[in-house]
Amino acid sequence: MKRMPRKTGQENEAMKSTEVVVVGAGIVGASTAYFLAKAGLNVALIDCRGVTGSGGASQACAGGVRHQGRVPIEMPLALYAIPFWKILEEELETDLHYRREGMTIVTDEENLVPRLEERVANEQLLGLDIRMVYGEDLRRLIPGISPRMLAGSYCPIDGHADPLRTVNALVSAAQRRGAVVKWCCKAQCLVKENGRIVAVNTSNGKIRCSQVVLSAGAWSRALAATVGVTLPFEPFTLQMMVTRRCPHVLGQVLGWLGHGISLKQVPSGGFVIGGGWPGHGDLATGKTALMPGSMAKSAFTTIALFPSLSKRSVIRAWAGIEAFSMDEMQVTGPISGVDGLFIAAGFSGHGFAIGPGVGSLIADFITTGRLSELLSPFNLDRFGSSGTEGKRNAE
Amino acid sequence: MNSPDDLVICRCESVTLGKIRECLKSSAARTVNEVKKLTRAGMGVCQGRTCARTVELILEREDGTQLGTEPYQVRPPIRPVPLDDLAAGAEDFSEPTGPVSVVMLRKPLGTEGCDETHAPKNGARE
Amino acid sequence: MPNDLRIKTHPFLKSEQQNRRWVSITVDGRPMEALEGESLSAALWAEGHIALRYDDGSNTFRGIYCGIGHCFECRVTVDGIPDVRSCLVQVRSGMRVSLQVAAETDKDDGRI
Repeated sequence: MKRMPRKTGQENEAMKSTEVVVVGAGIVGASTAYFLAKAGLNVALIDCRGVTGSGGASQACAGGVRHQGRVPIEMPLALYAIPFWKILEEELETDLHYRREGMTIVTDEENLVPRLEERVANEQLLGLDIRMVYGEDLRRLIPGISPRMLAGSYCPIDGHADPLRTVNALVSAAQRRGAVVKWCCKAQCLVKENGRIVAVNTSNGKIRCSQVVLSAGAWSRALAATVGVTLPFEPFTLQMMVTRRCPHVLGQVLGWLGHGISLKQVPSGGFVIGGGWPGHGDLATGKTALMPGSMAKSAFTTIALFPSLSKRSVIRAWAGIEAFSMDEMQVTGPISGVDGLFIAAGFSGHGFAIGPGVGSLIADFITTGRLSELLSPFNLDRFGSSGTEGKRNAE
Repeated sequence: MNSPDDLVICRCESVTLGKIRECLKSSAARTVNEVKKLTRAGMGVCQGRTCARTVELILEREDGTQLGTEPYQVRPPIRPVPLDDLAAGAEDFSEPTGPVSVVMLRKPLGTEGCDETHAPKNGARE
Repeated sequence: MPNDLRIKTHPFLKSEQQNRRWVSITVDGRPMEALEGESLSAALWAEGHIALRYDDGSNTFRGIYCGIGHCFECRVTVDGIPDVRSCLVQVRSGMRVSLQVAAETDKDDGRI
């Protein structure tokens, strides 16, 4: 049997040491590894899965790149991070299927219109280009939207991109810049000495390092616990569906206030349907299974929002496990008592759009020691005691 | 057809043998599911019914991967289902009650730990 | 009887045609005769409709491939419903068929 030459010898070589180990090659980990490698640091990006991941949040991601609808304290971060998408395709030399044709969140309930208006007003104050659209204007803006929709919050600079292509492109670009990527390399525990990170124990042996970025999504909690850090995360499995290729009729991303739906039509023609519907997932194995009730209710919501899709066929559904934090906001930041550890997880279903930007800020922190104000609202300390073992170990 | 590389393996997504070979050469993909995600072979409307076996054979011949190592992951629906058929009877499902939200976080946090055989105990190091 | 490609006599298989009646359907708005109950893809093939759709990914025309409902190559629009596998559909009188030979990303039937 003829064997194709393996890509590099590094894949199988046990790696002994590096400067930074990034655990988890989802959107956040891949972005961080890329920007670290770009800054010239020695980086090892490890993931317990194979090259296209499976079971995690980034591969069950709706691909929305939106400013609107975020918690207000996250808006400055979003305004910084989302413009990265404008240059990402060129920087990574890959077509990410990024489209920026707007997003509108609609409502069909009179009494919810003021809620939309209030959020729009607040977001305008925060500097976002967003406005309300009503009645006929809404129908002109989004042909095909259900006539029962009364109003919507329209942000013209929101959009969407392809998560799989994006993560792959970030990983490849990181490799081109010198990052070592190790697939099927499962982090088993973090090792600290005298209150600082010295290594990561993996299924492929120990990797000595001075910094660890823990961006392993729902798997971060167990790893953080190995150095006495408690991450208040719960794993939730989220489902997605995609239809057959259809004639192009929708350029915007659509949401519906109070209903679980995120609807977009991707460049290859299919409609991608998300909305936070739960599936079944097993953290230990990373295996997921679909919940039929979620598919049915998601389909119901889709048709109610965009009736002309009723005869379009779903060809595939899939799911991934995401880490939801207690306040549904990410934890990003260094950990007192464990020098060299940086947590970047718990993005609770909204990490994709800001992932590349967050990765760049993490790289800035690791290279300069200064943490951007944009990340400081998301420190672990906000949950009270960070759960470290208190004092530095007196060794 | 000018060369074997032009042979269309996945008809639905028009993925050629050349594209699959390129994927095996230039990426870390080693299983049918990884090749699928990187080349789109098997992601089209027939969901790999026509090409899955051929892709497995290509992996066996070109990469030494044993047949049956990792089967094509099959996901519902097992054939295309119109959205209105999926939606019919949505009300009959008692679960889920709705999309994931903070409300679902009211249950106590689990106590799943790390892979205990590998964790240092009480700060002890290897 | 139209001059079609159907096999009318066979050394040892009995022709189904004796048990079926001719009905009228429309294909892209134009009338066509077919045998009630035969597979739509066979009826289309018999009348010379080999290309059933246009695949804009490969810029090629597609038609029957497996013929057994497995490959989805033979999909056409039937009575307004898109992406129907014509090899699995039995001809009924009055059926309205649209071939999807315009690029799939163009509107078919003026409907979305």
